[in-house]
Amino acid sequence: MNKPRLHILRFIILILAQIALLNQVQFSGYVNPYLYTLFILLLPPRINRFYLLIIGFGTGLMIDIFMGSYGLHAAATTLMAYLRPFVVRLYAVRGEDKWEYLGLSTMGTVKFLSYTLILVFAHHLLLFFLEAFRFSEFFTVLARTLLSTVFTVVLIFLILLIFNRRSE
Amino acid sequence: MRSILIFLYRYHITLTFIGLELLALVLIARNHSFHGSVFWNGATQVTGRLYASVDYWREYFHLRKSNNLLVEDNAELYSRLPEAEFDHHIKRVLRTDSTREQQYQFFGGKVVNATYNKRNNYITINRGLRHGVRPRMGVFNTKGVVGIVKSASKHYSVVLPILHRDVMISAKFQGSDHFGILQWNGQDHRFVKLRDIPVHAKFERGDTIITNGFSNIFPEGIPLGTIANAELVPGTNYYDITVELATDFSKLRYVYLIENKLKWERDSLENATINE
Repeated sequence: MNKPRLHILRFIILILAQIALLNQVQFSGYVNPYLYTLFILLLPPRINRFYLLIIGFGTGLMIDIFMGSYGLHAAATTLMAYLRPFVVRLYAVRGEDKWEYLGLSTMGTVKFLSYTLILVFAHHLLLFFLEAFRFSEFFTVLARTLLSTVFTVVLIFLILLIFNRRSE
Repeated sequence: MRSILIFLYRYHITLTFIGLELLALVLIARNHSFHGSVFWNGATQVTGRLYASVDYWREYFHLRKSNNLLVEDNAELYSRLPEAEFDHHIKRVLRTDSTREQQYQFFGGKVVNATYNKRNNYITINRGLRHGVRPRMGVFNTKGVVGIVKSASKHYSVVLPILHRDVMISAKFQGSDHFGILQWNGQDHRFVKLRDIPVHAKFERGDTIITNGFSNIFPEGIPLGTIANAELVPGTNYYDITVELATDFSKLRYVYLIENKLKWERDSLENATINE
């Protein structure tokens, strides 16, 4: 599961899905799911933190280039990559930190979902805040963040369910 | 020296994090001006091509709507033909061509990608530098104003619609000359805010708001929308007016670009005077 080829493939598929499918579907103004964050969630658990940051920044920049959003996503994904090791440590019991990869089947549904929820929330909050860049819109930003986070997490959960079934 | 190295090593993750975030912020801040960098214009080329192929397939779902729109446009154009008009023209003595110098020229383009539900939205159109598109050109459709060109590559250009934080349009009432600034507050894609209208201005719900031509981007008289609601801002002498947009950003297909032939002349005159 930790082969680099798999991650590269996943990177390409998720970015294409984000641009060609999700960004084309126009939900209500408060719901903007960003499924591509799944790529960072599923990177190997013991990846070097420095590389994790660089990969996070690069992923966001890629999305920025396609969406013309100039560094917004890069800032959000970098934050997510920075926080990831801390959140993993929250859920990994000391001495038992032996997950081969991060996912529903290894971590368990509750742990994986809360891990996803925290990181996706951090990503969306910074993203929507930078996008508005005004304190007067604080509550709009918060509402947008909460709704989009729920939507993204549900989407991630469904996708993992579908693909886990298939691999078993 | 040693302790600095130890510090750098201990915190190299956090320092990298801060460095990357600063880099991202610089990217965001630098592109707030209208003149996009070479890098992003190159990116526009790549993404424009990708979106064009996505749009190629999506277009089939809009054929009926597009046809209806074209029929509407045609009907409107027919009604503007000389045959459809009563001739009120009075011949003036001594009218030569030089008194009617053409200031605005228009050309059409098609939207290949657009969003309207984000805080800051973008529209990509299939016209670029080689068709004569330049940054800060105005864009509108048959209903009303769409936005302002931000950057252009060879074949494509990116337009900031009214539904973007950085777009402010000088607007006035049709029929009176009170003017204000029109800007989106990021909430409903059908409504925008009109600021700076003084308390003594007379208007009614349903009145039309048009461009006033101060900005050197749009000629005077392009519709922006109609007044939906208005209330006085407490403690000031100004109205806070909600305007229902004329353009429906959820179904944009064909747009027109405005080339202002005298833009350079006016810009350089104004800049020279202001910088004196």
